[in-house]
Amino acid sequence: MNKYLPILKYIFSLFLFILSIGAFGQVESSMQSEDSTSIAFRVNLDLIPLGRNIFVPAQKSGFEIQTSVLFNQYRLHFEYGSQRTKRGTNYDYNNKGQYFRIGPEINLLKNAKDGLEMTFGLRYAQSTFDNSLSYETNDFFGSIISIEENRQSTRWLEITTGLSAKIGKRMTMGYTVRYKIQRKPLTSDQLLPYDIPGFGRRDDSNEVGFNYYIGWLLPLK
Amino acid sequence: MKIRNFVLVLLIVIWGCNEIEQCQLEPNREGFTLGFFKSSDSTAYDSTGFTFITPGVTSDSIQSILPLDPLDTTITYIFGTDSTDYNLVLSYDVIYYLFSPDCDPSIRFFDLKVLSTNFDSVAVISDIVDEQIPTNFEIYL
Repeated sequence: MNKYLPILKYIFSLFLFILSIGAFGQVESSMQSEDSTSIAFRVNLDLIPLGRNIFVPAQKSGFEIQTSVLFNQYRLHFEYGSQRTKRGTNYDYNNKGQYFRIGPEINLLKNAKDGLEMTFGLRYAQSTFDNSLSYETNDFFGSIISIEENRQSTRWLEITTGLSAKIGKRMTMGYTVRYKIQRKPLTSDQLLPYDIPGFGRRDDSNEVGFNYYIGWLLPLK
Repeated sequence: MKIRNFVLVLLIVIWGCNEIEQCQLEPNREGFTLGFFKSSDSTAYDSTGFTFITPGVTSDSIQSILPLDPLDTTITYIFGTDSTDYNLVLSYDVIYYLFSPDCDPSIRFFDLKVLSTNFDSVAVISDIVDEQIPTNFEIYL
């Protein structure tokens, strides 16, 4: 539990920071009307991994689901995904794993018409994955290599922004752009991964990600 | 005209995002290097008469790069001269990775150590096998 304490503190601080940003934008609207608190639950399904499952299933496959609890214009996000990547023609590299992200978000267009939303958020993300590599070397020894390294793990932070709009009474569609930073360096005993599920390439310390999703809104209050 | 410009910009962006992977830029290599020196005055020792033997392999001359077995973490080299056979037993660590998906997998050898030898002395210049490092060991005999 102790090792997660700094992370929880960090997320709580970020959430307070987001709340404070939202407070500036709320002065006028709260004067105009005494809005009652609305609470809702939303599930988003990322369409990009689904597209990969259809068009390039041999190279990359997986899914990502994003859930959020909405308190007026504030949200708490939890996202979970799974990814499998296969690379190589003269070799066989496989990477598969799961990842999650958690963090606060704010809708900067609270009073916009047609359910239009522009969001800004922060995430803490963590990925756990397995790797394997098999090939025949063309060096002096001509060795047949077959190695795997399982349960590797890393974590990083994300700054997110996005746009979404209603496409039905309770359906939304939108995108999220993520700037992934501060990834914890990976160590390995045998096999350094090339891919990190949910992040991107290991040799990049920062990455940009993109989600295009369809969502369902379930009002709770 | 506008559509043509748009397509041109799009092509430039796509081309600009296309990474050029050159497998030759990968700095690791498959073996270590060494130099021979006279113990008496540290001048270069003529090693043209040496042969070397590793398990399963014999060569009539010492190559510029002596290979390391990626499936093991120790290797024994025997250097033969007309009068004496010298041995050099090394240990090392191995890690595998993809430099680029377009290239064959890479192997990094590191933490090279001399476990035993009957040369007069062996100096470890660098314990990493890398293109940028000209010599890993200096051997005095």
